Amino acid sequence: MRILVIEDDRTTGDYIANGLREEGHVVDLSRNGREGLLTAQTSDFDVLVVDRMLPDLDGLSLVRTLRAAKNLTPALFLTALGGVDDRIEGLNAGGDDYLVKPFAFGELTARLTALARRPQMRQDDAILTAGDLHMDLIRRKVTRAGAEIDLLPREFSLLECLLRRKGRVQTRTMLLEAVWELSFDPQTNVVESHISRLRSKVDKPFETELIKTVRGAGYRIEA
Amino acid sequence: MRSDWQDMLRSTPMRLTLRLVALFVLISLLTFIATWWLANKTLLDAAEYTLDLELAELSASGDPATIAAAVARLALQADPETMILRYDGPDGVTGNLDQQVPGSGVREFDPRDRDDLSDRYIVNSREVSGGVLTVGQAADSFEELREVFGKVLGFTLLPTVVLVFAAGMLSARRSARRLGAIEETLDRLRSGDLSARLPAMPGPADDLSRVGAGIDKLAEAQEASTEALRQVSADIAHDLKTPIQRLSVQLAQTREALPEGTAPDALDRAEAEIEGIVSTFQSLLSIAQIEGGSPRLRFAPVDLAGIVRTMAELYEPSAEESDHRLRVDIGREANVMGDRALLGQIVTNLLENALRHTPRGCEVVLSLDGTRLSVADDGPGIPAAERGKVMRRLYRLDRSRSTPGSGLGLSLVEAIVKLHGGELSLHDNAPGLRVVIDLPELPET
Repeated sequence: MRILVIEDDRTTGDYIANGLREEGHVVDLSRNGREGLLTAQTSDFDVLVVDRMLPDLDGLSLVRTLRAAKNLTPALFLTALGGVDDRIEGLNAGGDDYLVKPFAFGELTARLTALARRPQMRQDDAILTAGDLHMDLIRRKVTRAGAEIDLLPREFSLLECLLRRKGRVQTRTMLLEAVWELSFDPQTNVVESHISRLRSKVDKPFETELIKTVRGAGYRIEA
Repeated sequence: MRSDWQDMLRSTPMRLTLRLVALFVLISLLTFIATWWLANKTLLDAAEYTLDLELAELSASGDPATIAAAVARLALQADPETMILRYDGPDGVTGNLDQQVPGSGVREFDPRDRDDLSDRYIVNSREVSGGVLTVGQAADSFEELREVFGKVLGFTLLPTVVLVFAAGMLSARRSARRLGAIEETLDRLRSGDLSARLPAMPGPADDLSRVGAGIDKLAEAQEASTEALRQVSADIAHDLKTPIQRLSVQLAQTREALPEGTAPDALDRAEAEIEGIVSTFQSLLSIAQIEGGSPRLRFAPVDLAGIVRTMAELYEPSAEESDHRLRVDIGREANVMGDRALLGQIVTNLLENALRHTPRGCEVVLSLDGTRLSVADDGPGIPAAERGKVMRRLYRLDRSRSTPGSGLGLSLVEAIVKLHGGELSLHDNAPGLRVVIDLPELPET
């Protein structure tokens, strides 16, 4: 992916840029808002990482300006603020996602991947598969190696969410947003408990493990 | 429309008008009655004087025969409609009145059903040598007086009352419109729109426009201080979060530099501490924003039962893992006006508190009836003396210091409940703690 990072703090900016490069992405790094806006307008990127508080031109205005100029490159806000209003302000300004500092690097890459691929995601598949697992979205049935697996509605949604984004990491907060529509992060390990139940039905009776834990990030079903 | 009228009748200018009208009518009537009484008395005195003269003249001789002759002579000349005469003498009745006049002295006389007589007379009688002499004059002038007074009343009092009343209505409507504008602005301010200001009021400045200007000034100050709070929060957030972010980057880089699985415990603990700092920070920021009232702008109808079901379902596996029973009890379902995410946060915080601060084997009951939400447990509870303190920011019971948490959970819940116009209370669940939240119900439309 080609990623533009607009971040004024040197340590954080370098960390993000280097980390993303290590994962094989092409990264441009801007240290201030004006330069960032110019770069975003003159080249094509798959996704933007924009710090909300930048010297000279703040992140909200930057993305608003881009959207006004019909530039729809997905943008993820990084913010020091994490109050109840800040997330909504960010999304209203035309941001596509929002991450509060400090963040785990795994969370950032998982969200960037989800953002950049968003338009290509196919919603109309009737059957999702992974290995010997089949999910029939119309009859709401799941089978593995021919055996039917009985899932509760929410377990079904959770598995569906992982299957739809097969091969990509889904973080706890992403799952909370997608499956439970929660925009805040509970303190208790609620997602872990749900995954563990899902595993006991989907993975435990079988030889290979489909739902993998990605350390420091989240969960993934291999493609 | 009806309530409009009632509102108008209850408005201050209308009430003042009605009071003034009542006072005016009262004073006018008192004046009127006094004048009437005086005029009537003057007329009566004059009549009495005339009658006295007549009686004296007629009875001057003192001889019954002469008196009878004088009465008969005068009766011939007099028109009974203006003057009546009667002498009940020792030799019979003389005069132009063939009926008895009851009573004595100066009095009114009302002959019944007589076409040849007037309706009312003022009469006087006197005992004269062996008989009673009665003279009366028609009371037409009194009737005229009454007519004049009736006209005065009709032509002055009634139009005045109508005019004053109409003027009162107009001024009531005018001030009702202006008060309406003030009320609307206050509503908008209350709902968090601090940019609301009063529309310009036409006409010269008066008490209402002074009140309006005061409200505008207050709103301006409120907006400025909210903006200042926002700015300070943002600055603090930036200045604190940047080093925290760097610290967390450095910890992550340290972890990466070590071979897999050899990271010391201290690294895990440091990362957990950072998480704790960030969580406290975020909660404080959220409480500040909630108390500022800005989330009210996003309020929409929310189905509480839906939130309760989702949260119960979300926490059920964790509750089971920590060996708690989680029971959900949903009674009547109702909607509230609010912010879905914040209301969800309430349920989350209360459930987490209950699960975290009660030992294994305890039961946690999440119940909803209408707009009353409660989370009850049968754990150790909170001593009555401590219940007030746990709402304080960062306050923690001694026995909870070892469990994770910032001591802000309940403060955040309280701020959200207040934002929604509800009430939060802690009760003894005997044993355990019961947290009850009452929210205002959104009427069905």
